[in-house]
Amino acid sequence: MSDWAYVAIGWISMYAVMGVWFYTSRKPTDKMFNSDSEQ
Amino acid sequence: MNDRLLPRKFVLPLSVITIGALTLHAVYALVISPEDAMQGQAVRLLYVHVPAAWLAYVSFGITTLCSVLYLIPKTRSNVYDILAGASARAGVIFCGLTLLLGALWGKPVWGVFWAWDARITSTAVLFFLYIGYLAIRSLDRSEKAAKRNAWLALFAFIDVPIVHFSVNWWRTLHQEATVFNPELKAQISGSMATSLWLGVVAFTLLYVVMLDRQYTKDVFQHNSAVSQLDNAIEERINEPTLAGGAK
Repeated sequence: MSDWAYVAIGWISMYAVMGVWFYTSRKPTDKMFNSDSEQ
Repeated sequence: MNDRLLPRKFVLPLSVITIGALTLHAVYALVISPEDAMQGQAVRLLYVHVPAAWLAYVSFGITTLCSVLYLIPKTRSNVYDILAGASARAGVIFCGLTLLLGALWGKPVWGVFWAWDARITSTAVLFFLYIGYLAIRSLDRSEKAAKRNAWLALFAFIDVPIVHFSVNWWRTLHQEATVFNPELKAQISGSMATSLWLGVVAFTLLYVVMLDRQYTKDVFQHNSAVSQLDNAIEERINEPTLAGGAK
């Protein structure tokens, strides 16, 4: 694989991790929280 | 306890500035800075690997500071306990990125994704130490557990100076410090240095934004757990009794 391929995989993976981190750190809404506790 | 770390009015402007900084960093690192004479294009991975490592240090440092403040009776507050956890989560993510980006750099430059070198191994140990810390934190939310978790954070932080000085203490494959070396003489300059420092600034802004976001979530969940427990206790007290007085 070329050097640019490793660079691309690295940078894209980094942004993917940041995106997942941002999504999973959102504050639950009352609706989300209450539906969890009703199960 | 405040439900946010940053005042609400600062969050959006700071987030916009963070996205701008990350974009500028990407432009400098991927387009403007030249390839390295020895490493070729792989040097562009160092502009994210090094800032990720530094922010892992900062994150774990904040966790440790908050843990110390929690352990001192005069300064003890749930704020520090929650902040310690939120910062540790950020640290684990930055540490994981450090290992991943370092491995992707290592393959084209060293020919291997992994080596049992002192710096790499001690960084992997750091990563698993704090994953363990987060796992143990999630088991129990009592004050006794919070004190135990704070001691655990202090113990885990011992590995941070070991990681940093490993390249001086042992003969390692990993290069010695480019900026924070014992002579404090930076071995990088020009647009390469600019790319590196932009990375540090952008990642630091990202850390602050994400810390506020994670803290807000954790405070909400803490308060919800407390109020659910209060409601459950009140329901139990108000339950009708049987004839013999039992419930």
